[in-house]
Amino acid sequence: MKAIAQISFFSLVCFGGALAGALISDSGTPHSANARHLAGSESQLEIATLREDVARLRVILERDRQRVDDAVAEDLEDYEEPDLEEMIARDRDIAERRAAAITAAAEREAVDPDWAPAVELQIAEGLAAHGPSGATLISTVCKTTLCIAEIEHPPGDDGTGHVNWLVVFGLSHGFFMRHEPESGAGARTVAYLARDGHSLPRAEPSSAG
Amino acid sequence: MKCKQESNSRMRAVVGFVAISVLGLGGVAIGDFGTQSAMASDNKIVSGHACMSLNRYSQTDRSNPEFIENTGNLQTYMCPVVRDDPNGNLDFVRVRTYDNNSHHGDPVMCTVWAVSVDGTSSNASSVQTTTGGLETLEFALNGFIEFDYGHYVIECSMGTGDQIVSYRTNED
Repeated sequence: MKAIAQISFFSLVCFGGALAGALISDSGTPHSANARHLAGSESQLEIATLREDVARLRVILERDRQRVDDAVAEDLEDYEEPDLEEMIARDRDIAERRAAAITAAAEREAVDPDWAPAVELQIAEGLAAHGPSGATLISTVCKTTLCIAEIEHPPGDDGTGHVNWLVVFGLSHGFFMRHEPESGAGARTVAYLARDGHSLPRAEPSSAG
Repeated sequence: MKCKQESNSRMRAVVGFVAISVLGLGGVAIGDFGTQSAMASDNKIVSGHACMSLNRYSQTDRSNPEFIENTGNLQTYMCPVVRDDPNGNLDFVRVRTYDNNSHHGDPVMCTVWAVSVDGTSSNASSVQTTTGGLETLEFALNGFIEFDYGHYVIECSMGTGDQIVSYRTNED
């Protein structure tokens, strides 16, 4: 839309220039009475034509400007920020679909006996050595390209303290979800970890669109 | 004589027309250039001075415009990342560091985090220096997801004498 406005403006300026040039040329040099009369008639005709063109281009420009304003207003509506609850719900949906996709991929994968047991041990030892105080490993499952580890935080710890789980577990890529305490269980963090050189599967597109 | 005068008049009209046309074309070109410049602004380079030590502010040398340097023992820094598009994705993240390998064995290890709005979910990717000296760390972002309206941050752990020069991010 901006380009249309620019081209319209450019055309308007060009015709304005032509009009100005014609006016300058008309008043620039003396003519004989006859020649002046003829030239004056021609110039008046040209000026009238150019005025019509300018008026027409003004209408086009105004119409294009209105279109640009409408498009900008429409874009602003599209970018209107949702409220906080909606943002949180949207992110949870992204996270849950992602977790489901990784879990499904893990269920499909075979176990790489040369990698999985060693990394399960590495995760357990990493948590004991570098994990947050009192955190316990509920479960850990490694397959061929990924692992899923579930950690429970001790009572009174809501799990919000920052832990760089990648450093703790000695892996390079991870996706983490924190779950609030449930009856009889503390807060939990589920770590979805990718083997080096691999990436975690992405979530399936939302059915809600 | 008359013919010459008319010729002059036409010449002036043509010159006026051409001059204003060139000005108009210049306006169009400037407009296009401005649009392209705005698009390129998504690529951001931030000085390491934006990074904050987690808890030992005084053990960081910030006096040199070229970099910040850890003057204490192993410590962690958090570097804020500006996000332009709340629904967009990261194209790349690069951190330029200096690993003072001769002084200490710890590599510079950096992690880029994408954090959800309420902080309950996060995505992380890490990379570390492999050689001493100046090195650019580039994160593998395959499978990295960005939460709508969430934020990014880069976390770096550095040994004594290690530096963060700058970091660069680009959004798709």
